[in-house]
Amino acid sequence: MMKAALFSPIVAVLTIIGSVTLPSARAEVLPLNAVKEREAKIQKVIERCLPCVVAITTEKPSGTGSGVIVSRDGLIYTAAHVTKATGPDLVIIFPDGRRVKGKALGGDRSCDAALAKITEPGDYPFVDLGQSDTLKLGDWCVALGQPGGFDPKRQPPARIGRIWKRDGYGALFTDCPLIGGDSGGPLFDLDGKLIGIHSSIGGTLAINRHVGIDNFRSDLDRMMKGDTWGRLALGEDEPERPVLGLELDEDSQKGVTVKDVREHGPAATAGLKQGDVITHIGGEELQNYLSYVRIMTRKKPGDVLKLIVKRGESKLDMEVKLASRTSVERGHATPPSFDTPPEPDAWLGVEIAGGTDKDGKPKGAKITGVALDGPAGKAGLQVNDVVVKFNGTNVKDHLQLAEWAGALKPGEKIKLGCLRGDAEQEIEVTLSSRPPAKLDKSAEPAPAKPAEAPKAGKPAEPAPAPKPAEPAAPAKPAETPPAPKADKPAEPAPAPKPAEPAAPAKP
Amino acid sequence: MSQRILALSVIATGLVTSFLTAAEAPPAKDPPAKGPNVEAQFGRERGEIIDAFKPVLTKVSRSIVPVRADKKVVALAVAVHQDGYLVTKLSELVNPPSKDPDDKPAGVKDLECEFPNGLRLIAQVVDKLPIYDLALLKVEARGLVPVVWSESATAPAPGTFLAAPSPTGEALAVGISSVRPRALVRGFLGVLFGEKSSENDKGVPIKEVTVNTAADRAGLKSGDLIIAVDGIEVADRFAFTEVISSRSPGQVVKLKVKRQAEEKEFVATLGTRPKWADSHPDSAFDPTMRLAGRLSADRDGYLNVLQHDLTLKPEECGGPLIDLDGRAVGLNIARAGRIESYAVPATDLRGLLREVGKGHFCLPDVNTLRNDLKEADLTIARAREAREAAEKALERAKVLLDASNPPQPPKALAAKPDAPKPAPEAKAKEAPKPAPKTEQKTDQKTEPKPADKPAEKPADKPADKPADKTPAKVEEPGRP
Repeated sequence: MMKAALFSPIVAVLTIIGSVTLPSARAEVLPLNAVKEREAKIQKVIERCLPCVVAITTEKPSGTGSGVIVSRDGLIYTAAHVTKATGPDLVIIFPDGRRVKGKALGGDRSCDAALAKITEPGDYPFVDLGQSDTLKLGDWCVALGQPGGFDPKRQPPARIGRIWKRDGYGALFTDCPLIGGDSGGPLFDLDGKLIGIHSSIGGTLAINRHVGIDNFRSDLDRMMKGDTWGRLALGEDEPERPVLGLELDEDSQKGVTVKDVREHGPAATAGLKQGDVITHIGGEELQNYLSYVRIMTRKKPGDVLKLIVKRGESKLDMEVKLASRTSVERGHATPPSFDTPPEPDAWLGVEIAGGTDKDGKPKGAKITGVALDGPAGKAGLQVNDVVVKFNGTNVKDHLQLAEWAGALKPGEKIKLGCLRGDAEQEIEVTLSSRPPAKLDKSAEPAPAKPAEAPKAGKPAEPAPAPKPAEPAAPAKPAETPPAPKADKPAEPAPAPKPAEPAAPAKP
Repeated sequence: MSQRILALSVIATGLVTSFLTAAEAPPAKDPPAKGPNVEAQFGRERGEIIDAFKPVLTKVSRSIVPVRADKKVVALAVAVHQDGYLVTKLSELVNPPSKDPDDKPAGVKDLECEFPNGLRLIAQVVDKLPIYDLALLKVEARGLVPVVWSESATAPAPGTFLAAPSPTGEALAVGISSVRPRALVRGFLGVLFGEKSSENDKGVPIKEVTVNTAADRAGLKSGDLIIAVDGIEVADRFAFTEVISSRSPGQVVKLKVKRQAEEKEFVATLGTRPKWADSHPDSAFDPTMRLAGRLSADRDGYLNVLQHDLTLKPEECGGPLIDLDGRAVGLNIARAGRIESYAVPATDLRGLLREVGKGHFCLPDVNTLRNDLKEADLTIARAREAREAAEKALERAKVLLDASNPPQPPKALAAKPDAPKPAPEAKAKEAPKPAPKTEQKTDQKTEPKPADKPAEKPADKPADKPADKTPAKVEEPGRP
């Protein structure tokens, strides 16, 4: 008989760069009795915490993850990608096989933290909370969980390891190995305090990522209310990550120092300059770069934040409106609505393919068809034009153009830099909404110049574009990971970059 | 590998006398780093734990040799008797690996144990124990140093530090015991679950029946709803899984099935979980398992194994597993996953090797097994009684509490009337000390506890999984 699929730890080939340096535990040489004391401690942690480890699953045979009970009335900490996959109605299974009903509460998907709750009244065993931000590299820890799903003949297996890295999102990396089904399970320190929740694994046995428990602490009320926000990204490549449009000095202490200001970004609009030191964001004092990242993971594009900035001797009050990473990177600072992503219904009215420059090297997007009554056609774009710039930013290829244009709304104006022959000209296009599909099919475009008309019988813009013509489903630019799958969001590894993304193409 | 001083005396026949009597090995060099460099600095293989094992590794290593099949190292073996007997992992001795008793170890003449100084001795397989995946090897040598098995009556508790020594006295890996010993012998029916058409449906809908499995041979079909197994109603897939996995391969189960409006009964002879089940897209196998490194080809179906978290290579199995005192608490038998390795516990090995000097394994005799079975049945019966008593006590307490405290909702009370059955005993287990019945004061928030001690333990384990009791299963493999 088969078990259902597991909510696996996300298989992320996590690139190990940009870690926040932590003080490390001193190398110890322990006498045997000290090692045995530690062994006894580990045994005690397992014995004490094991009854609080649960499998989180559903009536539907869709899979199983793990969780840990943290309060007498059955509050459960787990991973956001677990409750995302289960949906709201849960079956909670204790190690002894006892099953109770539960429900998913809110979660912060950007760091993979979520809550669930046992809905049957009861007096449940629970674990104590520890702290994750104060842990040192080299600290030992114990992992429990239900790897492979609940097994009536097996208690949750214990594993040990050491913390060897912490990333800018407060996550812990250990060599406590995890597999599918462990997701959402607990990581303990040697006093039996909960310090992390299993989230994802990488390509070697040493790469096991756990949500730091302090990530729960800061937003507990919000999650308790059932609020869910962020996207499972596990990295700074998350396209919808809110950004200020700054490059910051990671080693900053007492505030963070601005190393560079991204043109057209929110910070630039607000007037921030290189060398400024941000001391407060949204009323919260910034200790260092990590505290800045902490705050930002709780924000979303569109949020307006008050900043206090030290410039030389003076103190400035500023206000910034956060934008999404992608919108800043493409030089377009209007944040898309976060909770309801914009329908990609803006229409440019072209058919495009990969372009080349005059030396034949790949560059820009080549126009292979124009709807003459469409926005591009009206603005004067012609077949064989190569779009090389989008609002001043270089366009790598047609996929990128499709993605960028697709994220906009009808009525918005864009400036396209077009190569026609040797000359580059800037054409301003006002996007319209996509005409109804049937119109597309019936309305035979009336070409003024037959040579430039779209191929006969073919609508200028096929509604469901078989090739990535226009942005029905915007193709991702190469820099961002492919679209996450429903249950394994970050499968394509985000390679965390330390600072805010520098512009892929500086204007 | 660091060169070590080895005192080997070869007698006239050319055979080894004292094998690996290295007195003081020079300090072993640092163990090879596992994982990326950034991790190597802080990984558990680099910590103070591995240092604590160093003194005992050297001693145990004298009993360990690599086993070569057709010149290639396929496993480790551990000396169990001075007259040339060693134990190793059976399934690795044939190619492709298999522990099937019908697969005659091909090329036995090419099996060799590799002693220090490169001395290789031909090894014969003199006995096999497929249910543990063990083989007993014989080399023409005297004076082997048999490993010292732990005398403890119980296996190391979860969290006990463990190491796998190499023949050269280094630690192949360190870690902890993860799970108490259990049987990995479980039945396999061969169905994929479907979704219930409504919440209130009792039973397990079958989405797909896998061809050539127990379910297929029994005549189950896609769309069937399994209502009961052996008379035990299975309300959902969890209950179903629990029942099926508590049965052994070869056991016959009766399935009550609803097909359309009709109720039918099917009889299925359970099979073993086939290897392909792991790669089925809908099965429990998941891509994270592939990030485990190489796994043992044979890694399931054992009668009793201790699960630990040492990351061994397949060819590093067959050697002993030791605790901080250097006692061999088990014999590593499989690397089964990214997080799990298995060892045959010393508690089992001591019995199996009782007469190893005569060249064979010893299984418990039929009378012992029958006694064990009788005892297990008795324990289960006692546990059932205790459970019923506890449930009744709980009911009484609830009634009393309701009666005496009407305005306050009994929030902290344990089980709702419709709570799943195991609830009362789970509660009982949490409460450390059983409270006398007379103490069921109405103002007490805790629920009544089982009346006496026997209620606690048996109710916790055997009562839930009666068929799990291992002695009950030994009869079949007892045939050799």
